Amino acid sequence: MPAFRPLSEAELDRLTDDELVAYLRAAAEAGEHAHARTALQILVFAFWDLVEARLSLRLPAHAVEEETANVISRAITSSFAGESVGEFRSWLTTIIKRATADYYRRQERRPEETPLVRETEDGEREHLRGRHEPDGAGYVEVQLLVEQCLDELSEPHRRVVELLVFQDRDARDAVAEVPGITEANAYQIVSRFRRRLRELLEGENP
Amino acid sequence: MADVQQLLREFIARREAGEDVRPADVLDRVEGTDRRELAELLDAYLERAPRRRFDAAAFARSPARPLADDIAQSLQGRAGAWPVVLPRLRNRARLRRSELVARLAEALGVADRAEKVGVYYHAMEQGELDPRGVSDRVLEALARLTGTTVAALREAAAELPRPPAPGAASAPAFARTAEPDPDHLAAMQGSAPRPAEEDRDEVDELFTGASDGPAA
Repeated sequence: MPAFRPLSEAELDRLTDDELVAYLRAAAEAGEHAHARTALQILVFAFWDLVEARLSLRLPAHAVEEETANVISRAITSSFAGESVGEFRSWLTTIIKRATADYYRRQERRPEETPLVRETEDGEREHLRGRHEPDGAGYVEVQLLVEQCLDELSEPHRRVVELLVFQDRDARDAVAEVPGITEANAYQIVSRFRRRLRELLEGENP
Repeated sequence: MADVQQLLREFIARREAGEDVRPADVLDRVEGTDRRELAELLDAYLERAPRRRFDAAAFARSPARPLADDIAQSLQGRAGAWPVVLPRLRNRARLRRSELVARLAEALGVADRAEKVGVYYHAMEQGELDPRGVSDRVLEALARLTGTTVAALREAAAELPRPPAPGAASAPAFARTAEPDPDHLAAMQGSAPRPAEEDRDEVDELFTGASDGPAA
């Protein structure tokens, strides 16, 4: 096994997701706990807002923070146990889906309710009732239909959608990056992608 | 009514400019199929979005911090993900630790030794107690009180491989915000004498007697 090489915080911030996870594992396995801790902090901080936002699309607001912690910890600890499959981001999506399903299953067997209080750092009891009132905005069912639409596209067309829709880049960037694509093509590809997504959402032509 | 693509664009621009923007900020401006389409697009964007740069001050204020502490505790402990899972189950059940301990002791029929149950439960949350020694009776009672299952608790305990030997006998380097009681820590790590065999009682058996007991 190659010797563990510590990296600075700035260097860690520049690693890809999977490199950062690999570094964390290497540090922990080498017993370099301070370095593992730094990598862990960067990883948890980086993904907290992404996972929290994705769960806010699926769960009632009062459940989001707890489930965010659950998903991130599961993703990281399972990467140590060799349970995770493929890229860290894809694995997170898998765990988000499982956590959402588990959350709704759990609602059917909740423990007996006790008063809505928690202990603060100074030992006081804080009433939480307001946090558990019904959510105003509500949430929607996310079905990962975008991935289905993207899977139906060729690799060059998929790249065009990634650039124009999810990176908010200009059609000229697609022309420069994807061989054989014109600006008009790029807009047509995005338009067809959006139409297909709406078809799936409306239950037409699944 | 706002355009879905325009709202997605706005969300991306605000997020990548460092603003604390939430999906609800844009979702609430559309309805029906537009709303569902925007949710799908936002989720797909968030799956691909660049991760935010580390900011120590923001991290210190964030709920990410206690989670990072608990995962670190898990990585160095001997109880898998219990340091992450147990406090969160307790919070979900809306129980203070002292309340949970009292109910656990009662459920185990040792209400008169709740203090000792508390020492062991504290060690479980800190990842300092070998899960193999914890009896199913304890886990069944804990599962009932916190709305989970014995299998889920066992699975959480098995989530991580055991930590490497170097430093395993020393105090955790990943300090939590709240330090464990040094006496409890010493006792659980074997640096204090374990109760002599004749002094062991039912509580010791419940928490350490399920297999070979805690590894020294």
